[in-house]
Amino acid sequence: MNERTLLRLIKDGDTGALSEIIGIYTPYLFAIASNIMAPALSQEDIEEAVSDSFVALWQNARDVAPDKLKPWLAAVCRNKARDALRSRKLAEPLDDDLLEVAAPGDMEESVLRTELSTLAREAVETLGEPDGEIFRRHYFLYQKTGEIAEELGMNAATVRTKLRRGRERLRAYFTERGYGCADPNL
Amino acid sequence: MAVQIRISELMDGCCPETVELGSEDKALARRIDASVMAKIGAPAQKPRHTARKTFRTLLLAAALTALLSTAAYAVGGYYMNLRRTDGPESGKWVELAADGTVLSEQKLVYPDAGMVLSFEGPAERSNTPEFRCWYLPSEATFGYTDAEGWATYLSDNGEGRSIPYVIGASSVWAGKHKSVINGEVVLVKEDDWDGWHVTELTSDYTNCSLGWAYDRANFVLLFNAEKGWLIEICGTAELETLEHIARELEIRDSGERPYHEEAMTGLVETIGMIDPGRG
Repeated sequence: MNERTLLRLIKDGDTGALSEIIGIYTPYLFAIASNIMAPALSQEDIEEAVSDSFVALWQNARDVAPDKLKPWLAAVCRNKARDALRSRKLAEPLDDDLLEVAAPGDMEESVLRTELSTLAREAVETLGEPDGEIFRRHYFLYQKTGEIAEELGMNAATVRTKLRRGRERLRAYFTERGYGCADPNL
Repeated sequence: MAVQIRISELMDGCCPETVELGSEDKALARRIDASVMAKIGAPAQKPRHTARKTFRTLLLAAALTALLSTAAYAVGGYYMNLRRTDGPESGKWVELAADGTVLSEQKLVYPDAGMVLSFEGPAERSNTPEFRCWYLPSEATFGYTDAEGWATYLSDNGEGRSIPYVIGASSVWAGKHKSVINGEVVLVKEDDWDGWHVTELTSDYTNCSLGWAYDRANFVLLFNAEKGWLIEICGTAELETLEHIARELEIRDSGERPYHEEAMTGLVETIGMIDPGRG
């Protein structure tokens, strides 16, 4: 049974279909949650974030586009994992992803974040490949540079260079559109 | 106003969809499944087992057409084809809309396929059969039986590299639906039992490229060509034990249409595998 059919069955309240999706996506979500939560939190905490992601699917299946199940689950799992870290006041896993952004005028922070998310998506599109994939692997999937390098057959230094260029491109993209932007790590 | 924002927080819409992560861990998946079902308040076992067993049954039905060097068995309206293969065996899941346009198409490859089953016959499937066991070598640990003991899927999931038996009943699905048995498959025996064609097979998984939970599995396939029913008894138990189970099955029409029949009307081509599995 394909995912489209399974999602339709989940929308109809079929727990068997949900079990099938759990079987398919548990390894993927567990890897994402582990990238974010380990070693700060335990295996049980990681499994909790994964199971909560599937519960969210059960509760919100009608909002999931049939061909977007995988990114939807991944995004939810990322949020669950980050929430778990924050609720215990633990540090975020990546040490290279802070940006300092000056919003124009009196724009509210929530609006600013929404605007920047849209711009970030556009900016990553301009990176080309494999730079775009490397950027997504690191900042979406939270993969470490060594792991990305191994999977893509590169050396880690090359991956770090491409990530740095990606961050520079992102800052430039924001700046060109009126958002003052600096890297507080520099 | 200047705020600090994490790039990762801005990346929610940037999932690299083609990237695969993680490796299969059935124990982990079972724990997650149990946790999710508890959280959503799913009734203890029955709905999940019913759904799972039926899903498996559908795969089973999809499996029975291309066996044994193109042997075909038919008495009534259905034919079962068994075709030997030395892997890989590829196939597709194709779903069409009512107007014939392709909704989805996904290719699957089974690199270790040893035998392929498929069926010919009426497009409309029969009601699902159900069975009652009068002999089991050990207690079933998975599946659902009604108050009188009737079931469409039962298994002893065993532990470690042992899955003693799995019994699945389905109405066959004629057309471009095929099922794979992996490993090096050997035909051990064929027989006819009062309207049922019996095929006994054994498969060795030790040279498979993919990891399996067991080294060897045995199969007893009961095919009723008149009704279009297939009963699969498979597992790591000895073939004689599985045959004993098969001989003491009571089988009847459940009166129920194939599970999810309506939802699956658009599926014109499928492929699956019917090797023993835990639930």
